[in-house]
Amino acid sequence: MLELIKELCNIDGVSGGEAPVRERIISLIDGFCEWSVDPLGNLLCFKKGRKPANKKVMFAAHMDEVGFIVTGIDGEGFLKLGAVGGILESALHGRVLRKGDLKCVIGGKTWHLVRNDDKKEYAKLDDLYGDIGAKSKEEAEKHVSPGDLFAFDVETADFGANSLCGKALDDRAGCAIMVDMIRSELEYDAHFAFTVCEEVGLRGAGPAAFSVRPDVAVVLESTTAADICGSEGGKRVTVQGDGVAVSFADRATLYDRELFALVCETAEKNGIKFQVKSAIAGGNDSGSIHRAAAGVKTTALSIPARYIHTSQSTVNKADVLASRALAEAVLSAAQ
Amino acid sequence: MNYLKTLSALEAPSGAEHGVAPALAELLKPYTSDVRITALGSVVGVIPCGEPEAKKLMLDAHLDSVAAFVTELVEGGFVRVGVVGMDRRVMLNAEFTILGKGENVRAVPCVLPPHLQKESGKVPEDSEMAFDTGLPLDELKKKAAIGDPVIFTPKYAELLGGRAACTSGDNRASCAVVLRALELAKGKKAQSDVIVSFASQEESGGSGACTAAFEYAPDEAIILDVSFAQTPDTPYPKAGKLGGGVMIGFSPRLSRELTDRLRAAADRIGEAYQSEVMPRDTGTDADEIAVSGKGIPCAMLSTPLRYMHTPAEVTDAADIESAAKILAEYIING
Repeated sequence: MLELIKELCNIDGVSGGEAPVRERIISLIDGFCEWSVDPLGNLLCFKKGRKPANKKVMFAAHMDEVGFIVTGIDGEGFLKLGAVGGILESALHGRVLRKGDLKCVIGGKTWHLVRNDDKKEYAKLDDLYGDIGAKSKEEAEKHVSPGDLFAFDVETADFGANSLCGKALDDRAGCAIMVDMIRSELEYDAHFAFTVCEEVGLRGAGPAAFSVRPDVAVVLESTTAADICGSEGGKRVTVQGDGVAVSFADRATLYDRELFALVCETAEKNGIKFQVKSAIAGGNDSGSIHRAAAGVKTTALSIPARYIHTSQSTVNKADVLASRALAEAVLSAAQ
Repeated sequence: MNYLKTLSALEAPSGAEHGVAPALAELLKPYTSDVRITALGSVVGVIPCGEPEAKKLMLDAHLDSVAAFVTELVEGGFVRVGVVGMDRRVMLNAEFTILGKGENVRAVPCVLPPHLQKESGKVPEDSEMAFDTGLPLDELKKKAAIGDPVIFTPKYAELLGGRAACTSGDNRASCAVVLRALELAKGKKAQSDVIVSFASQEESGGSGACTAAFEYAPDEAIILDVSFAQTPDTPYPKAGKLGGGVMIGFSPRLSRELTDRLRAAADRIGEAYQSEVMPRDTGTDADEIAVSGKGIPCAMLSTPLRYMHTPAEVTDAADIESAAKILAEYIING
């Protein structure tokens, strides 16, 4: 499964351009479940378990990743770019992007030529530009059109003692866990939604939940780990290596209290390492799933990710495995 | 050979360049076996022209790249660094490699999400930055130590039309010009003994260049470096045109006569070039070499480059080739 995470991360699927990710996932799950693609591009799967479910459980993970969209091409062949999803200002300048084989540098004014005051602030994306090496607008237009998507040009790989580092771990790690569950034997029937456009306002998950109409939704995500140099206590939000994070509230969802308690209890009972997310911050597909149709009891199991929404996010492998274990345990416990 | 691609992969941070000497000696092998490392770490190769009492021409291209150095190993497997020349605005976005004891360690810049930042949008000071190795501290200590160099992880990405974005384009692009010029001039009679100086420590002040110039005491020197190429925020004449040919430098600190001879060489072979006018200092090794020993007449050839001191420095292969042709013509015909 850890190898699968790397493989899925190395496929580019910026919000609205998830098709390559979806196709690869379909090739992995075909034959292990019933599946269909809904009108928005969500991949909806039904997996038979050993027993029929008393409660309809839907797992969800999003296929899209943050990235960039071409908004225009200037007279000299430089691209103007817009951010797709929330990308830190410090994660723009100097980065190489890709669209297939085409590479693009996010360029900005040269350090030596910038006034001292301006060296203290990050340039906004509006003041930066995409450089594909084109010598003219005409040459650029042969390779790029407004609306084209670019992803970070980086390979996701093993890192440090027991981690992965790269782009799109948010949320291909969740996708890989779901693929792994679908390809294995489950105790109960389960539904899985690989969603689109989470990063641009949780757009895909609501309609997916509307179609599936689950009793319980389990969102498999990653969330901020701010447990870095100089950060202490609750400010760390989650801590890498302390297990999968369970949320009671974030900026998009007040999670169902009973389900929250059941998830924590299930983790304890099964000896699965978990932590409670220590900040009311961020949001994920739960935000639209819990209010889909007549409402869905929802929980989120998140892998603590440092440097999320940059090209070099990291996750701890043990936390990933804890998330996988808890997801399966919750399927049984929810019945 | 794509010299730039080969050279940009070399790990030669300012002040710790000697590790790549064997690779450079290998590249210089077709021209000379007389390659050595100076006291300060410059890699110098001498190519005699065969004439006794021949004039000595030094080709200086600095080898070092911007760098940082580990200043602290912190609980949790983090490091803090001091920076030499890197563009701070891109550092939290870059890939880093610590050149540790016999082993490279990847380091990822620590960034907080916006809602946890005290002042979002502010570029941190060196002391405020930290880097994550993903290793427990005791394991990190086995691999890295205070003082170890930290570099932008070498990367080479081809863009359209022979252009490339790479780490250390400053100044491996010029090292590439020198090697390509030697290739073009091979088998032809040179006017001078050629002393190739891949100089150390330019990014930290030019100590490698001036000491190599003193030691080899050339009669004249051509300094090859990179200079700013135009971007939407930096128009002519602040910068040259990428793909517009090499830039011949004009500065009170440079020799008019040597510069004119270089221009004449370009004109003889009909190779286009641009002019780069620097009213005061050149900001390159030329500033140091010109006043080395009893003084050395200098001229400059600069390859246009975008996004200097970032991990994605963009150059155009056509500019490297054009510079190499002009330099080869000068080596052969003066």
